[in-house]
Amino acid sequence: MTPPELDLVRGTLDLLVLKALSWGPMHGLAVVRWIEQTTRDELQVEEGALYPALHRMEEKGWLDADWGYTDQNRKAKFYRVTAKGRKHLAAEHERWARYTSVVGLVLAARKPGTVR
Amino acid sequence: MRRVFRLPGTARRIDDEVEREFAFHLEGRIEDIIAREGLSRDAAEREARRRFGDYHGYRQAARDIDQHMLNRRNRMDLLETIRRETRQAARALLRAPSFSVIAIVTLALGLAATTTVFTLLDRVVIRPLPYPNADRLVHVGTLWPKVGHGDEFGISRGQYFFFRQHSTTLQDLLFYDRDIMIVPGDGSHPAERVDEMDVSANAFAMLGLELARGRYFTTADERNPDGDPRVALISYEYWQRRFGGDPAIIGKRLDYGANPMTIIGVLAPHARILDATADVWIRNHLDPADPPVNNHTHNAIGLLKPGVTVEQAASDIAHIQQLMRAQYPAVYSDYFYDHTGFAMHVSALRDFAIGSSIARALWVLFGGVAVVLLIAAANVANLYLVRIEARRQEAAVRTALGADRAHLAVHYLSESLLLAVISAAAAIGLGYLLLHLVLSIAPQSLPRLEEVHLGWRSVAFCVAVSVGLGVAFGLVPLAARGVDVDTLREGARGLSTSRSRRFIRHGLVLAQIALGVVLLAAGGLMAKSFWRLRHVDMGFNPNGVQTMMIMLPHTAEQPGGPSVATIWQQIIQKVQTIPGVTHAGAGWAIPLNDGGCSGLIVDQPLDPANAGECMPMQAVTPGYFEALGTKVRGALPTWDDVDAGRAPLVVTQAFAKRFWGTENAIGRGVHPYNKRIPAFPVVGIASDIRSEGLQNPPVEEAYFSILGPPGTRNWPVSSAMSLVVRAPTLSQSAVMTGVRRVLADVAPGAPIADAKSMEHIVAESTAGTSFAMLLLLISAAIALSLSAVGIYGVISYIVAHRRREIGIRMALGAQAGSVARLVIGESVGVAITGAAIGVVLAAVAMRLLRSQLFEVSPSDPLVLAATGVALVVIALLSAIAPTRRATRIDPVEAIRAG
Repeated sequence: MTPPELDLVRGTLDLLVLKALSWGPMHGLAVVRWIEQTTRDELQVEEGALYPALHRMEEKGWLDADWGYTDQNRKAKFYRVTAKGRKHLAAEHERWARYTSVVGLVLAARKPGTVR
Repeated sequence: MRRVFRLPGTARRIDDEVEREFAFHLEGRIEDIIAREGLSRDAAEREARRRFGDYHGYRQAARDIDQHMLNRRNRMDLLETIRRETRQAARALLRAPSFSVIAIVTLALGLAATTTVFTLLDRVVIRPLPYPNADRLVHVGTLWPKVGHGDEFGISRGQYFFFRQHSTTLQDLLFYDRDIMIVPGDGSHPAERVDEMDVSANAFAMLGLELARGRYFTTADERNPDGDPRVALISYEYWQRRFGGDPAIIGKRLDYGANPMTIIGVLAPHARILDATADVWIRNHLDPADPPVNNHTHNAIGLLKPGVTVEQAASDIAHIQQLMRAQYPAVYSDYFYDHTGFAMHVSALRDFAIGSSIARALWVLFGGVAVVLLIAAANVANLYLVRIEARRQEAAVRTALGADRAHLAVHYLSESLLLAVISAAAAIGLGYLLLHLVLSIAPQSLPRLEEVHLGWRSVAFCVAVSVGLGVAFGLVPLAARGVDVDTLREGARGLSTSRSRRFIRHGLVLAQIALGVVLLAAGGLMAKSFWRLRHVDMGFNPNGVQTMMIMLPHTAEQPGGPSVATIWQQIIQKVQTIPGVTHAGAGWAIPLNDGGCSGLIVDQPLDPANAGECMPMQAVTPGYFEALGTKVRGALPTWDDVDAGRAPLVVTQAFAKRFWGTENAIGRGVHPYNKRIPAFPVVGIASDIRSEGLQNPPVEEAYFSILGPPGTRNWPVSSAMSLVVRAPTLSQSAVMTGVRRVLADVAPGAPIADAKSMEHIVAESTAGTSFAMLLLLISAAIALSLSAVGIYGVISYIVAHRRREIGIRMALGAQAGSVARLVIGESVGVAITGAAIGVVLAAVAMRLLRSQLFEVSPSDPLVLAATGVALVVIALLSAIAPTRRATRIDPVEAIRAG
């Protein structure tokens, strides 16, 4: 049995993908591998779900897609973050940080009435 | 990473790419799993697929997104292309301003005329009536072929209930009748005559008539006794006019004869049944307990059950009428059926409302303007041919530079489409003005006139037609073969105008002339009809005659006071003393306005079969014929005759001939209605009066005295009559003022309505003909000027093209005269051929006009010949200027330039 996994919070997949691609153009497989390594397999997501997300972000103009060749000379579809995508990533990053810090504050709060 | 290619272009490509992207992913993962966990390839593949999740679902999602993206990009590309091509087309049109302006003006004229008449046709004939379930509404009426031929009459209350009870095809049936009533003055408003509508309670729901406030009638209101409606709805307009929009109107009283009514509601603006509006709406007295009587006076509109056809309803109603006849033999006797030919008639409400002759007339007019449009299109096509000739070089250069046919097609199409769109926009503006003009001259008898305005359907029609033409014009250059590199070699000389292109050009002019003849012939025939109509012997002289309706209030006759007949006598005799008035009289009706008919019994009839027919009849006072200017042989009725109980009767010549076979009928007698009323003696024979429309034969009418012979009962004096006043030197308002003064004295509170000059009534009765004539003549005028422009253009082109040839001829000694003959000869040949074809076409096409014509044959030789000659003359006139240019060609210059 695999240990219980963290569910991917809705909408954060976009954030992860943008972050992954911020290091440079990658194909979908590479994005999955990167997420796997970075999260040490804690974050489990159906890998197929990545592709509608990638295509949707391409449609929104956050990503550019081009067919190219991998190091093993295999043909693959590479995604690259556009300027618009970078702006979105920065904004989302900021929002996410604020959100987690607020949630953190709430969870660390004491029982009401004990505040001096 | 090397780039391979960018966008997936088609749906098929999108599928491929998504498939390949997923395959790449799975393959990579399988390798990962084998390397990391040492599974077999099969197990690794299963594991990879498990981690991937719903393969088909994700594939579909990715595809959908890509398809959406592709569509959007295609749209953007298309917009960009349109923008670029439009810019180029605009530049091309601006480079040839004279071509563009002439083409746009020509097309806009043709389109505007077509759009205007289309709007009329669409609003009046094509569109469903403005009621819910309009396509399921039918008119239920009766035909009495042996009484009133071709007329449709109403149904009875008994039938209303019987049909509702037994019909298997009708879901609902409404019943209505129009009437008039007097609302007495109340200090701030004078007494007035208003239109009244008696309806069954279901009429509002069936016709979607909405309330501004208050409530509708109920079936309980329908049971109120006949003549005592008790409650009334008023129209929005009457509420505003008479009550100033009083918010506390509900519950107010409305005086109506002896029975005041309470206002229970106000209808929404523009409430009407077909073309009938009314100020006061009361319930129709409908009580199923009343025994059926033979009294068919009401209009009925039925709502078909879904899916039922008009024919099914007609046979259903006919069948039910047979049941009713069997059940009430006393009401529907065999004698009655034999003598009237009584039969039920069910027709689609729209057909009933519009009438086939109006629909036909509008279609004919539409055909007329379609011809104008065709002529305009032929002109523009000709301009295009000339322009291609000029642009062969350009096209050849483009071809040589690698433009393929598709590119050229887009280029030409965008140019002609831009032209078409500009023309359409101009045409819509022009059509708007034209429609106002047309509506201002349209006869009031045209149904649904208030619905006519230029809406989106007209705009769509105009744009669709112009775009169709634009595409056709854009394809002209492609159809013209020989646009290739050879043209380049031909050089600027371009001497070889191909025979086929010249043939097309001549053909277009020929067609224009032929179509022009058809239109002008139609206009000419209508004009001749109109002239005939206005010069027919009407049997009265409308000049200087004023008419108006006067209604005596119910309070006019007081016990012990003068009788109604005496009041009329006083009114008429006092009106006669107004300075400037030469004669005055009154009658139930005036010529060309609807009169009534009734069964009459004449003594010594020529043919007893004539008895029982519904004959036009009315009662008139002395002075009626003098005021109308109708000649009467024998004696004119006088007030002395009336006072002495001599009951003078005047019949028309046609009446006398029909019943006694002789015009010498003085001394004969006629019973109005039936033999219970004594016979009135004929004292005079009126010359024939065209009372039922100038285009109809003289009326066979009897004019009774307002008082019967001694001992007469059931011959009441009407409290509403039309006053006829002959006052050649007075204006209408002067006559009205005089009459009002008389009424204030003799019959206070009597309202005047429908004041019209007799000349106006005559003009109104011929308005249909004059309207059709005007529209056809306007169309013909536009068509002729377009044809003239077309002929001028083509002859000019021919002269310009044959400049060199003409120059050589002149250098060789040809005189100006022979050059002129050469050019004129060419145009005359085309003109005569075109006119000849046009005359033949017109002779055939004019049969469509037959029902609109009066005493003119559709193939009237004079009109057709004159039209043909007119077109040839116009062709010659348009050829004059180019011919003069040809004779002034300087041979040296022409040859050198060539």
